[in-house]
Amino acid sequence: MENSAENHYKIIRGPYQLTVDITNKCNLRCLHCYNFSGENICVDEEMTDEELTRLIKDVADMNPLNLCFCGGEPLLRKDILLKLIKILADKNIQISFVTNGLLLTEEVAKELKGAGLSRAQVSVDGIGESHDRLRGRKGCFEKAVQALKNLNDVHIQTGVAFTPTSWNTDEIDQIVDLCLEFNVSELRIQATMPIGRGEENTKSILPTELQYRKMIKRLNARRNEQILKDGKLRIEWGDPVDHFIRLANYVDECCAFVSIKADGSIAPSIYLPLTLGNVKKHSLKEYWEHGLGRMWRVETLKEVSNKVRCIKEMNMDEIEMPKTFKEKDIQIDIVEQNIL
Amino acid sequence: MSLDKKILDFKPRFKKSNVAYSREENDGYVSFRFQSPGTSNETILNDTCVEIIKICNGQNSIKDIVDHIMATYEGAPLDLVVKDVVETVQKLMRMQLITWEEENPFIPKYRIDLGEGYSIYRADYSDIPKINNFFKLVQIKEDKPYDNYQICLNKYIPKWSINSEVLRTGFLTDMQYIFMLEKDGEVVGTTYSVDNNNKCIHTIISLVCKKDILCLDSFVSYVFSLIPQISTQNLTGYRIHVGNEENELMNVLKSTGFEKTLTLENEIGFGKDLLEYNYYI
Repeated sequence: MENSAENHYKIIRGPYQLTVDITNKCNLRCLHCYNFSGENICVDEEMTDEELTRLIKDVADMNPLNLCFCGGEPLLRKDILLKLIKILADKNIQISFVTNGLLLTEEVAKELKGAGLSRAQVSVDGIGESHDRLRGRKGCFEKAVQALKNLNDVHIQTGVAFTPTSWNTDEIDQIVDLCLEFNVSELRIQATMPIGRGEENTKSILPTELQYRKMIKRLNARRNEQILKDGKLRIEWGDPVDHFIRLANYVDECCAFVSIKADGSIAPSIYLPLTLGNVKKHSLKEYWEHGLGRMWRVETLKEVSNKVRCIKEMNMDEIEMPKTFKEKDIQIDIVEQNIL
Repeated sequence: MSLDKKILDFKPRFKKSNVAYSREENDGYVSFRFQSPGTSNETILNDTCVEIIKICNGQNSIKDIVDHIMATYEGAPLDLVVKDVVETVQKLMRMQLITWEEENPFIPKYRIDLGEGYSIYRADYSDIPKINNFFKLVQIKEDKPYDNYQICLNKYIPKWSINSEVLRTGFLTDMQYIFMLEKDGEVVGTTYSVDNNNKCIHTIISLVCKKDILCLDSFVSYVFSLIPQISTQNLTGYRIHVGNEENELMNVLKSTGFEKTLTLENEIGFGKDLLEYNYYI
């Protein structure tokens, strides 16, 4: 068995997991949105249908484990989304996508199932009013729950993403119960990132430490309960900055996870303002062959990621780096600069 | 081949259904993602491992697999092939990707009778339902009294993992040691401990026994004298982190040779200390 990460990049033919922002357009303006969906700097330079198709065919040839279409709201580009899902599904690649559920009607759920979607993650950030308050529109909670039901009805595996805010942390038990009711396979909770609109609304939405602690305590209790029961609902706590601290400092030998932004740029981390190329200029395969698997060895990337050691530091004004999704990224091209 | 005949005759079966993903890579390597609680990320196997997996079907013995590899890789030294095959099977077993029908030579039972109806044996996966039932009876709840049982829990290990990891997955590897104490066929006590990869200190996770067991001393001393002989690691000692509780089990551990080496003040918060006990072999 091969355990040395040092050799992995020489051995593997491509990434195992990818996220692709199929659009950054959005039908909501959520207060916590980390990438200013609907109004960020990528919106006007998004990949065309042809560019997306070329990228996804490239990905399909590399045969990764899974690909997740993110956004924005991916269903705003439903037609191309369905085509891309089909290309990947034909190669037995697991495909997931994230959605706010507003457009996920019964009919759309059937279309997604028909195309070969494996899994969908619906954002549910509270019960009823607290969910809608974050979304700035009434009725969104009902639609998110309906989306879960519609997905469930066509047997698409579902996940729920929950972002803690100052007004929803005490609803975590009800969120777990909701997940159980709709056969959700994973509840993923991630600390609120104070970037994007999350930065603009920091004061009103960020939970206090005490709120976090109380929520985590309940969360652990419910997770243990689920593990003992049947383990069908996985409850995961995700630290959004962990990956770039870990990858930049401890395991920079090989990273088989790649994120593509809506404008085609390749981002080592969607939370950092640095890109390593653009699939509009060169194919993903070309980037992989030029050492994309060792992206975390790029010195500038290490410098940028090491400026941030915790979530709170993401929006500190004294840290000198471009505001992610608001200002132009630091742009490196590993093919053209041949630096790996 | 200088291997125990039981190992040579062992017929492992690779759980094909647990392969969630595979991709052929460069130089004959294959990436796998397994649906197995013993694995999380992708695992890259070299061509020999892949060849071993192909014929790990429950029909071929370790000896058959060795012969197959010898035939596939002409000129390969026998000793190296034997080592490779055995280590691969063991590693796959630890990743919970191997099943077997008869007694697993990597997890022998080491059964002994203590008289008066008491017996001790090492559990394997077939004993999971028994262990499960026993824990259900005990209903481990931290900081709550256990009417008919005495319990010694490693406070660094979440209490749930004692129930969950083995019982949920229904699997025991050769690095996990659950010994059962039975009285007239009924489970009355267990010890659960684990080898740590590349570490010489063996971690005790739990000891659970019914109260008023006559042979508690014999049970504990048998288990802790046997483990160093059968461990996958070169053990130099045992370690457990416990709270302040005093019970017969702790007394037995102390009489076996466990000594308090460290007090970690307020380690688990709420003003509660953790006591580290070590027993050096």
